[in-house]
Amino acid sequence: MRNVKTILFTLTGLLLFASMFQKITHLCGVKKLNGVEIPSPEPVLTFHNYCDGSFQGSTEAYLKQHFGFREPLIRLYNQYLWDFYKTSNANRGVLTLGKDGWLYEPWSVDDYYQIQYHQHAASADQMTEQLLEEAKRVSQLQHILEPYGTHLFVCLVPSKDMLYPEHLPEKRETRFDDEPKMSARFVLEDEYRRLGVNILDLGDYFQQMKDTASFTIFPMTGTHWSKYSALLAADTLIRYMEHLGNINIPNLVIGPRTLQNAHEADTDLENLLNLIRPLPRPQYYYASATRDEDSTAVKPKMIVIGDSFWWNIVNQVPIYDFFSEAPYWYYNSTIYYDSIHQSVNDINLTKELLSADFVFLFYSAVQLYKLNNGFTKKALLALCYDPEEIASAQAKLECNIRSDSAWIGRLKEISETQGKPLEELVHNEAQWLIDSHTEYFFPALNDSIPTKRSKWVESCLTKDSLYIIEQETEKIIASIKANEVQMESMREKAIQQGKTLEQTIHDDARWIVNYKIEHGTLQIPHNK
Amino acid sequence: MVFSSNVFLLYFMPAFFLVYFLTPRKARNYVLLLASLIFYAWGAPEFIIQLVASTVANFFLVKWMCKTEKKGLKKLLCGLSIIIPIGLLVFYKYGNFTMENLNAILGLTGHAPLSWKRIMLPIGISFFSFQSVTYTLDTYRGVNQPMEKLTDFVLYIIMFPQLIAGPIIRYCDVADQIRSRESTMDDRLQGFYRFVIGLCKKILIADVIGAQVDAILGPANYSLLDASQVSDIFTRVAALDSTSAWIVSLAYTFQIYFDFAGYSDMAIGLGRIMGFRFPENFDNPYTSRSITEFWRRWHMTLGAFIMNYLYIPLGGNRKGKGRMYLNLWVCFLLSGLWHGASWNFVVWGALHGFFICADKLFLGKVMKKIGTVPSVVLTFLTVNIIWVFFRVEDFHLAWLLIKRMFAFDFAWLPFGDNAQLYVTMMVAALFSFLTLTKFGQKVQEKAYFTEFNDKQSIAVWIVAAFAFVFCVAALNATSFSPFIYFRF
Repeated sequence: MRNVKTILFTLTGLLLFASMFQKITHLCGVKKLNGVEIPSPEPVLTFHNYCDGSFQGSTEAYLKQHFGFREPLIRLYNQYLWDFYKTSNANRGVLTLGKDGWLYEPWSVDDYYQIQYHQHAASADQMTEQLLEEAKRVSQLQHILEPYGTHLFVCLVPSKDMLYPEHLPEKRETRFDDEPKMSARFVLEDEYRRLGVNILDLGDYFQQMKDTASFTIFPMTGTHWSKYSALLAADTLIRYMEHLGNINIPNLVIGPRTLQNAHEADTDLENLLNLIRPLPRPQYYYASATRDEDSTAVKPKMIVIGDSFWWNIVNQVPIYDFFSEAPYWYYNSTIYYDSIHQSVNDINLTKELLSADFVFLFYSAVQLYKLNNGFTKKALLALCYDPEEIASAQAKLECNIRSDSAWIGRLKEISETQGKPLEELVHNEAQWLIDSHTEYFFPALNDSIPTKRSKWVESCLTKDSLYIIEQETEKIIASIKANEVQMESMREKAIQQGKTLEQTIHDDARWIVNYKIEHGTLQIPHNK
Repeated sequence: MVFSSNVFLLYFMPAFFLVYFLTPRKARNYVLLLASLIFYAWGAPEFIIQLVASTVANFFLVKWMCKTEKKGLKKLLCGLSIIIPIGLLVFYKYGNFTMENLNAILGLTGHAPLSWKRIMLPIGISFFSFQSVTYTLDTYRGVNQPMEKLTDFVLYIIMFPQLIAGPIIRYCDVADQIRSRESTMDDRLQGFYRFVIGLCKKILIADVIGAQVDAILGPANYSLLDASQVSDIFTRVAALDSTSAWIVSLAYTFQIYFDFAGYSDMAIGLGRIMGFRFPENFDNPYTSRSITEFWRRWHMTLGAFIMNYLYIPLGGNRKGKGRMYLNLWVCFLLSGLWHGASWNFVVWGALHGFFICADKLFLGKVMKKIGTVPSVVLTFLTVNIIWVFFRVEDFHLAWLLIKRMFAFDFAWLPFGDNAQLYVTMMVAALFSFLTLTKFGQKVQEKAYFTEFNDKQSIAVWIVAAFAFVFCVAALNATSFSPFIYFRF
């Protein structure tokens, strides 16, 4: 009797140490958890953070993400929730369980019930106003770019809630029930049409085929349109571009479709359930995409600024068979171009826009509240104002902030409490003001179609001129770099202006090029 | 550090028991003392020195008190030894409350408010200050001899299993066990089972139900919220139909019981593993037939403390009926304040005091006459309504919730998509009322107090081990809600 209880007590000890042992040895292989979580940093013990309790807090947060057998334990509880209650912890924030096993993103559900604006604006009126301003900016951009042979258009991408509202969960009462309702999609669509903005409405396209289509437009447990729908969307997109630019782009050929077990991309929401036993895989149609041989076709350059719906196109369609260049400005933040990742802040925006044949905004309905992630404001500013003018407005604002004792006092407080340099805070504050009140600081943007252009844009009236300017700039950069005296002066200037050396050299070279163009020492072709 | 955390369950507890059981018996108290200091220093690093200093001072004051023959000095030392822990309790727990009320009065009389820096409440202060008082008074009354070793006394005050949330252990109940105790294999296994039962109560019942309560009523402490967040809570409560309002109040009634009783079970279990026999703290309080009985079953160690160290010294029932009622009221008002430094706790205590007095006057007899089930139901519903004042700090909000409960606009399954809430509440109700039946009493006896034979032990161990693993899973899975992709 004693032996059995001793064994059980020993087993209890082993049970308590199992997690620690696994953490150290990684003896048992475990299946990783799906999804992305914000990592808790490894805590560093200091006397101060120990005394104020933050070390303990961060240790507990860190250990929550780093203990042995974490993955199977989380899956065990998730499986219990799913088997017994058909629910999931993911349902609390990143996932909404619909009817009949359908999964949605929660913001998609909010968009359907027209309350999503609460996450982006103080009121429906304010959101509507912002959207109308955004539509105006898109229209302005379209008109500014048109003479340079760059066709701008908006591609309205459907979201799951639009096409499959019948599987949404029953509407729950929320604190927004008595608040006004509005949908970004409806506001923008109407305003775009009123302003004559080029639109390709893929939402309408799929809506019309939904009842008769033999394939699923949105998979039950996926975020985005199905891979097959994405192919149809790509084909429609290419045809629309041909029509808009009056050119012949190679035709997309969609191969024969076959019924297959759902691919990973079509079940990405299910992954968030992190179950032990995956749900039964549904079958969907899949097909291959190629181009047909057409010697008369041309491959234009296009830029897509959009959300993750583009991945299902770019991952299936050999995009460079149809376009000479096709950079993907993901949420107007990171540019994906071949295998290159680059920040949108590191490019010459004007040059990129003017050298493209097509620029299109490719956002699904739920992302429209984000106002194209600031792309239009930035593009308009770059096209209409010189960098010097922008820098001057920024410097003036920074100066105003510094001379306002209450303002600078507040920033000093933040600087002390958050340990950030005061200059950085002043710079950011001025930047934020410019970003949020761009039209106020740059009044030319208030015109329905701004007539003002930056010197550079004025001078770049053909695609050839861009090439000449680029060549000239590169030449000047090379000559600066070859001259140690000039380089020393550049270094000093970079420090004074708080820029990188490369940026300073580039700006100077561009200034010289502009000077040469203005004074006629650099001849560039114009299309007027 | 709380028991239901990864730090405790996966690191502190295994490491502690490994070292504890590898250490020779004579030195185990030192291991326990050191672990308790680490345990407390983790949660309240700024207070650990004051805690140890006040405990050491008390030890020597009581020692001096016992040695002296002078009655006056004896009383003075006894008073001092009580004032130190109670003074700390008053300062830390009621400092903010006092200043807020003082400033409110100053505001009403047109004076400028006094500025003060908010005081952080050290964890467990309500418990260890009372334990310190029991030591002083039991020694003063000659119930026990004072501790010979300082380390034993410090251990009695800050022993980690009962440091944070009790049970409040009287010195006379544990003094001998600190000096010498046996821990058989049965004790260790029973202790582990009891710990797991407590962990299940806390994580699988209280926390699950509590999530819904918090979703409606917000966090327990409204001082952390801004005005718009409080306003949102008011809006949510005002929009509740009567069914939802009852569900929320019932959910909290179960939450607080399973949370507190679970913590006590874990403390008793941890103690039992080391050979301690801590007193029980809960005895199926929701099966009580009156509020008086409820207080014999709810937080029994606090009830015993109030009885022995407050009610009886105030005169108890020895000085006439009027005085007895006054004493009861004072005891429950102070009990309310002990639970939290806010007026809602005072209201909560006053209401209990009121019903206790009513029991003595007439209600007790009525409850006996109407039979077991009706009296249990009525008592439970009364307790349930009074808990609203305990949970909701803002009096107006508490009143609003009660008004919604009695608005009689009932809806069918208002939280219809939250099957887990309903199932968990049913499980909570089942375990709350199970002992009303003989079968339930047998189950409880078996689960808590029976030593199992070999076969039973194996079966129970398997269940307990799985339950432990499942609790750790629940503890971590609940907060794991990853994004599908990083978004901008």
